[in-house]
Amino acid sequence: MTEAAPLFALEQVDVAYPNGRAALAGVDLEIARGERVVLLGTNGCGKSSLLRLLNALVLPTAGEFRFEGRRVDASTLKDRAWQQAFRRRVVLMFQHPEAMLFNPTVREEIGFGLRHLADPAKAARIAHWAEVLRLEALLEAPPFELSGGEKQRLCLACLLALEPEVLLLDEPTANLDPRTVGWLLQWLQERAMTSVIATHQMPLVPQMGERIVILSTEHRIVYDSRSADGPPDHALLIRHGLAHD
Amino acid sequence: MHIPDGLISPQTYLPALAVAVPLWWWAGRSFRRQVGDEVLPRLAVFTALAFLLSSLMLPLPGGTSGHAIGVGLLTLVFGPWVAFLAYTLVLVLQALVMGAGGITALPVNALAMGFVGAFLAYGLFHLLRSVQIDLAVVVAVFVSILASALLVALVLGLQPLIAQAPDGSPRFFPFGWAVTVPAVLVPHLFIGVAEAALTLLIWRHARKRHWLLASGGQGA
Amino acid sequence: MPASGIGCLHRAGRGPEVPTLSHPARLGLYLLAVVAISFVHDPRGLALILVGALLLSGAGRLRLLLRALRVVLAILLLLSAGFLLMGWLTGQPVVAALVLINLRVLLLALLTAWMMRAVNLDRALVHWPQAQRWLVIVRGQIQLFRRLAQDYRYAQRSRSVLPPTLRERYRGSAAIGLAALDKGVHNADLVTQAMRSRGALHD
Repeated sequence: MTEAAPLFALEQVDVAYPNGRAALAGVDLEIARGERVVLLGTNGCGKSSLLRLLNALVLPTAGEFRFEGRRVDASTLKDRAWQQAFRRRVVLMFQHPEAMLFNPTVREEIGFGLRHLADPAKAARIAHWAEVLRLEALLEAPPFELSGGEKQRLCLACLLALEPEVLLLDEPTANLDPRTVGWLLQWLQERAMTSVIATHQMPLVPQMGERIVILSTEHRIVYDSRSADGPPDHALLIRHGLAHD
Repeated sequence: MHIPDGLISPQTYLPALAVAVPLWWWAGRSFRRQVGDEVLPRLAVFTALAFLLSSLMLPLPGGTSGHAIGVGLLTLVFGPWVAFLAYTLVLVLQALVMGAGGITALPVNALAMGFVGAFLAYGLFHLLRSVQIDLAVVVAVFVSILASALLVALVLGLQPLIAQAPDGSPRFFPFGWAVTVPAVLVPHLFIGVAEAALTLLIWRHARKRHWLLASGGQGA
Repeated sequence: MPASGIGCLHRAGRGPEVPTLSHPARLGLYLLAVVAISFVHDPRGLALILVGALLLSGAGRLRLLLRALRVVLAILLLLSAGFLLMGWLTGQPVVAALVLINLRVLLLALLTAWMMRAVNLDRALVHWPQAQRWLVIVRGQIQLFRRLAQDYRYAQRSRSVLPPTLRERYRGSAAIGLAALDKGVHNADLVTQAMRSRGALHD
């Protein structure tokens, strides 16, 4: 019986900044449908870059990146239909919510990306996610007037309203209150959704996912629980700035 | 220079608009060629940046301060077309979002400060950079500010000549060149010196950033 | 820049509703009025339009007038004083021209203040979604840049044991300028990626 192709497959991927500085180096990684991956590493190790690669916002400068077996490169991104479908299925929540908001009201912000739905269905979905994320009172407010936490909840509402298959989260605990973080992690568990969560908050890791991947300051994967003999030892965590003596 | 509505005649602002519109179109086209479908987000951020730079405090002797214009710095970092576009959009923001008005003066300001200011700074910098790069920055910014101010002074001083009542009295800005040129140029001499100094300070650090070259700026 | 500084980023359109007219129409009407008034050269006509505008603007008209005056008072006083002096020195009659200029400038400032109150720019741009998004992003980014500049100023103040010298003040402004440039370039990339991630750049 042949195995299904992994959802994401990275093979010896390098990603470099325009100035030549490395963002990722020699990354081999496969993510299966339904897996919940926690990406650990200190600031600057490449967590955000990896998430952006998985969201096809940056492309490898070496190696190969595949989504559902199809190679993702510059020519793939020129395929509008593919890109539109991909963007609906694989969503990324940025660490800084301001970057994501560009519609005049919260209602329109959540509704962006739902234009393929008929008005009643669209309105129902907006109302549902506004309620779930406690934004009902703010539906007519302009996003830039919201607090940091409200903006982050709004970003989450915008993404979840698309009913994506893959959720990529960049440091979600940075601006989300503990209540919303707790709700989100439970929600992800219940839906068996594919997720990749970048964090350096160790206490929440067990709730965030079953699989741990650690990136080093050299932008390489130094630990992957899928292939490891056991959980990461304390010495490894110290070495990579994730714990202290 | 903020000029309220009602001081510039239609004989001035309408032809200025006719000149500005194709230049804006060309600037937009040039920027789109540079960044493709990323025009909207990049232009929005650069407009906000231009807005902040135009509100930077210029320390002056005696504990006072003025406001920078910022076109020179924007030109050196992002190029003259982006500086022109961003500055124009700042004027739009000031007029319509901040409620400062100045719609009729907008094409004049956009052309004088945004277009002439940006391209003069760009040209002078390139002309002088092989002589000494710091000097190129200072001269480019100082001269472009003075030239823009002179243009505005000339436009203002033109009003009594081209927009008069039958009895010869002015219908818009009432002073001629004998008043406008010194009144506008003298304060801009100080602003020009101050802003050239500030731009140089910022420039010296900015040229070490990798994005200066990537953005079509004028890295050393 | 007006003497009052950067000004506020408030969203207009919260004042008394002008019935029937859509926001794009209101904005269009304002722009037309600004141009049309520059062709009116009769002080009595301008005064009538000014009174008419005040009456039509509804409740809060005094506040509106004061707001308009705040924007233009300094320059009108300067111009008027200078022109009166010139008239006195040259013996030329200046009052009629001064009345005309003052009325026109004040009327246009009033219309602008009214526009600010009556026009919701987001709704006015509803037929131009790109412009609407541009405005939303600009507002948000200006907030970020302002906060950055304020943080730098507070930090300098907090670290200054003595009043800053001219050199230190320049360095302070330069630090803000450089930080803003860094943030500008970074944010331009970030917002672009975020919009692309949400499918907003190829729709």
